[in-house]
Amino acid sequence: MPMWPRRTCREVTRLVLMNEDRRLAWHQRFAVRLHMKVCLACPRFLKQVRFMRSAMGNWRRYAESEDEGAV
Amino acid sequence: MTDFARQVESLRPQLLRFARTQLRNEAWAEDAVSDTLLAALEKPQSFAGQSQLKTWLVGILKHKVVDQLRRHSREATVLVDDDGEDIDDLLFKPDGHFRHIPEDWGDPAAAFGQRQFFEVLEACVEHLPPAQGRVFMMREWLELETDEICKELSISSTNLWVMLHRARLRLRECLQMNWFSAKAA
Repeated sequence: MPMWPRRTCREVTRLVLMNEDRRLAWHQRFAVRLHMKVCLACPRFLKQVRFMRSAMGNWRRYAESEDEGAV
Repeated sequence: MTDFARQVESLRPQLLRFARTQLRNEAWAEDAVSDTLLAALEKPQSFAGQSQLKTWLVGILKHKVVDQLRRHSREATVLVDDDGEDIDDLLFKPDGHFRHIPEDWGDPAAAFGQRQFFEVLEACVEHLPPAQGRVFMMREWLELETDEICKELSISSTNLWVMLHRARLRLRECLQMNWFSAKAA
């Protein structure tokens, strides 16, 4: 595994999504962070993924409570 | 019927909705909800001291739903993916760049304050291909760890990650199309 890998957006988004369900290896985290510095698209993608994570958490809490009618 | 029983029974439709979204199978969903209501009515004293009946029932439902998933794990899991297309090919050019720059979705609080957003979110989750929808809900609603999901469904972690990867990308596309683009229009 190269120390200084140049990743494509496709590869980075794959790692970003993988990170939702498991911890990345240090070199994977490093590659993602590096890529984020030079890419316009992937930071937006990351924000969207975090948005979805929050959204599901909020939905879960709201849908299971009796306040469902209140939103 | 006692008051408690009546209240429990009145929550059946909502429980069924959850069960359907998770299980993607009407018969399994009905069974899970029936098991839940029976368990609740058998032990009304377990509810004592809890704040919300619905939350308590959903807690029981989650266990019953896992039982159904375990029981029907073979059927529940499509080992070849149920995608007709490779969603990554749709999103990325051959050189690995995005075909379209992702949009800025703005402040989450703005969306979360609107009930319609959650309706769209639910619809998007329901719209996922069945196997993807199930594992996504196991992760996001049942809050199971990935190794637990693999164990319950007897699938490999690789299989699971492929399904979750596609589920999240599809969910993203659905939200973009049905909420964020629609809002901008």
